[in-house]
Amino acid sequence: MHFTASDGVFLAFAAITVGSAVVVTLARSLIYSAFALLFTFFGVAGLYLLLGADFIAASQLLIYVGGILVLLLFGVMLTHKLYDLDLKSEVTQFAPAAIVAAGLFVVLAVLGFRTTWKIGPGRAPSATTDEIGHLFMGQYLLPFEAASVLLLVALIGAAMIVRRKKEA
Amino acid sequence: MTLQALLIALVLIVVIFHAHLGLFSGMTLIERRVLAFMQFRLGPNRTGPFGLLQPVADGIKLFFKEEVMPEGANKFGFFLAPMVAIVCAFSAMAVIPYGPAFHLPSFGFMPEWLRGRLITPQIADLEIGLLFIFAVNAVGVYAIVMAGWAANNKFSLLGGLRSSAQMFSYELALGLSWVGIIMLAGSFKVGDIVEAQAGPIWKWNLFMQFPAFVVYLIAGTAEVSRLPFDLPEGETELVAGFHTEYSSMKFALIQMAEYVNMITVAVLVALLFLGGWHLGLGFAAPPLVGFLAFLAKVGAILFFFIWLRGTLPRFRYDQLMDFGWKILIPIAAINILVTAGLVAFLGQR
Amino acid sequence: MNAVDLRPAYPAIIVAVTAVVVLLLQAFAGKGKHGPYVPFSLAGLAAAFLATVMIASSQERGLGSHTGGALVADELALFLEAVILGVALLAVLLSSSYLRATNSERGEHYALLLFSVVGMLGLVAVTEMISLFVALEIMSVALYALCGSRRDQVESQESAVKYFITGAFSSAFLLFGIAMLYGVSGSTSLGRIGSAVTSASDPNHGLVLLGVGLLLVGFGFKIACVPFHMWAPDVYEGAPTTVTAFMAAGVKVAAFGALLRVFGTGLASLADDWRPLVAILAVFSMVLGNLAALAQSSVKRMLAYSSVSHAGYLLAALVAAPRVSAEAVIFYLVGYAAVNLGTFGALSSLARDGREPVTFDHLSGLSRRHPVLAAAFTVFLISLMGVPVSAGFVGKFYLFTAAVGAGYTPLAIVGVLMSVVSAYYYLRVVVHMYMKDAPVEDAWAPVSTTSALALAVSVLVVLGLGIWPAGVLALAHAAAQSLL
Repeated sequence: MHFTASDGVFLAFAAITVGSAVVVTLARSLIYSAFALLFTFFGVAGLYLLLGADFIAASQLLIYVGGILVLLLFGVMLTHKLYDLDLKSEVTQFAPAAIVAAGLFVVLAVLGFRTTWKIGPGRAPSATTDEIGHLFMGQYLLPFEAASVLLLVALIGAAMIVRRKKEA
Repeated sequence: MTLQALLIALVLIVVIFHAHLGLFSGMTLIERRVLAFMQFRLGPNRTGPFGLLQPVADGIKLFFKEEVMPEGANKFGFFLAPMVAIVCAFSAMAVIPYGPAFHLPSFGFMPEWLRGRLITPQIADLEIGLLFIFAVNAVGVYAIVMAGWAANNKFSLLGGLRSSAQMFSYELALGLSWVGIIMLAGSFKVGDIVEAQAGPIWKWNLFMQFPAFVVYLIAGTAEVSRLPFDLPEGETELVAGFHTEYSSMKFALIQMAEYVNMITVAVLVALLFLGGWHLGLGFAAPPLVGFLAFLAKVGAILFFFIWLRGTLPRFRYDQLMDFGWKILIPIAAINILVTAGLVAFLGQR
Repeated sequence: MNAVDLRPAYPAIIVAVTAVVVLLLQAFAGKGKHGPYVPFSLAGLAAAFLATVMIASSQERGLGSHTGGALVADELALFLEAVILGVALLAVLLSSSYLRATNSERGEHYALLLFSVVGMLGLVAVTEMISLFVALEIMSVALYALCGSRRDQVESQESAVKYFITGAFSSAFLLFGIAMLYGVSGSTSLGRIGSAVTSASDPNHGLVLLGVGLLLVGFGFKIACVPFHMWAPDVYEGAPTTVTAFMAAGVKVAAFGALLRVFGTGLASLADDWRPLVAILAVFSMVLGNLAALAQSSVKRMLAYSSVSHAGYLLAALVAAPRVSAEAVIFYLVGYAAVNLGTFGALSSLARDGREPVTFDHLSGLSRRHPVLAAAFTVFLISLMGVPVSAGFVGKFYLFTAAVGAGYTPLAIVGVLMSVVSAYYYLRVVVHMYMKDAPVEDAWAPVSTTSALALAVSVLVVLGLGIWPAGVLALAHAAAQSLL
């Protein structure tokens, strides 16, 4: 196997994704976690781009980076005293946790190497937007609409839960 | 991509980048002069003829100012924020065509492959064009959040939060206002959208998509925090908002990002709604005329922004939010619905 | 563009549109006023029910019933859809007086309930994993919010948070499992997943097992079987009682419907691998559910643990899936849904001024003040126990027969033994109602007409299934056949 330029790019994006994901989980301050998550999303968007999925990459930036993460940061910053809070999660039952995690890692790693993954035929990067649009409005109309129903439900539910008490 | 195409792209990058820089420094002066004119003042007129050297003087001044690092600030975030701002501001211009395609003239000193070559003044013609601009714009919010948080100053934090809430809310209306024109053109590419407006003047999206035009102009103004939407910097309440603690070159970078964003919005209005380089007379103008028409349109929009600033008072915060969520977004949504129905029954255009 | 056949989705679409209409009624009702939410909800659900029946009676439903490979309208889907719509109709009837009694009548409540029904309708009809996940989330997200709809009660908030967190957690397991199966088969459709891996000698067997295990964990949370049941008592107790009734009945039907389809068709070829797992879950659920129920002092908590144990009974029959047991599971689900609506509905119908019976003592002397209600409650309880002439008896009989038929006789023995144990805590309620005096003046409201109607229907279903099970059994049999 020889090393191509796209392998290098893949490794770079993968390193960004995994590295910042590690920071997300290990950071003591919530706000560091949130900012690190930004880079995780970037890395994932890069991987999409590498796979020729330009539309999904842009949507990833738009929705996760531009939408979800901003709201997350908002939540952290607006919550009283949360943004400079040190998260010291108690370490209890370290040994069992470590054994379970290590075991899971070994299982996943072994399976990952043993399995013959179903890999589709590769395709040259090309415009995907048109195709995605037709599939959403054609073959996958129902799941697509179901997803919007899901979002609507989440919206109504959130609005109902945060409603002021006296109105209830 | 061939080496030749790469070279051309590099030249384009350099040219467009510097055009923006020039326009930025020009705008700082023009804005002050025009404002002064509107307020019966003179404005900066001492540095050079008509004050033309004022931007240079400002630049030099900012260069030599002391870099202040506020106590307790997060150094990483404090440094990163202006960079994110400027990178996002300049990234958007990658997919914008700055004029019609034209053939290079043939001169003797040119290498063979350059003579008469068709050049599109656009760095990268991405399939997802508008979506890319939108995504980059969305990332730009982080510069403000980060700047506001990293400075360890409550005015900065409040300004940052306000600013991002505002951009976030108006981004929705902004994005929705584009959907109609994307449907009409059947493409995300800015170039395709401009070409879809070729022909008589009523083909312009200004007329075909009037509600979208209004929504975009308002949301775009809010997006770049210009009056009457400049609450993030509302100096009576927040000192200077998210960039209160910034000084020297970092301050200059943030200012530059804001102006570049404003120029980008103006360029997009001209391209997406005012027919770009089309004159609206029903025939194709020669590239140079088209380019000049395009510049004139951009200039008019920029003047409009300054005009707004000289005329309108600032919104109150709750009014701003109400306006964005309860008026702009519904208008944009209804516009999408109507446009989609028309496109479905009448076909594109 | 290829046209999409939307017919299998008609019931769900009708319910979704109704939900939006109800939401708009709320928006235009004006401040402090209430719109006609209940009639609209009932009408929408009835229309959807009618649509289901019409699809079922049309001859051509087998043809072209696939909607983008996502939804199918076979006998199983249609039968369970009808059951779910029936549950929803009764739940709306129960809600109308309960919400008024607790001062929490809002359009959103009905809208969310209807949306949750949309998710359930999808869940029993999907043949594709991503759609399954979306349907599951529609159902769950609506329920999270419904659980927390009583802002004046800390318990309600607690139940929403607990349900949300465990639910999100379990969804992650489910998604991970789907990803594993996709990695092997390159498809999310159940049929292709099923054909991708057949033999244990396949090198991909390990990954498939992992995927199946994760799916089982995800479903385990939803149906609340041990050891994934920790949330159930708190959520069942804290949620508004009519929501609990709807949740206990509807989610069980929908989740077991999906479980039957996923494990009965897509993963049927791997049955030898997942059967032992399911059997273990069944035993734990039956034993721990019943033992924990013994120790409860709150009726709602007792019923929650009882629902854990009933998940165990149902799982016990699943080990024989799909050959014998699908019809047993389907039949049991019908009776069980009616019983759950009945028990929680009976509790909710007594609510007054924001208070409702919670502990055993609250029910003391109920037979004197509300003799009919107490009698109905008793019918539900003996059905839960599995005493003859009730749906529970016939249902359990078929469940355990299925387990024995699959060679899992010990499971059936555990089930019967545990049913005997359960008699203790079910009868405790009866003892309180009939043999103890109320300590204070009766604090409970008279049962409203709508609640009475819903409870009467539940009683009729429970007794009807117990005395004359043949009709529904035939339908369940046809539904089970469609799995093969």
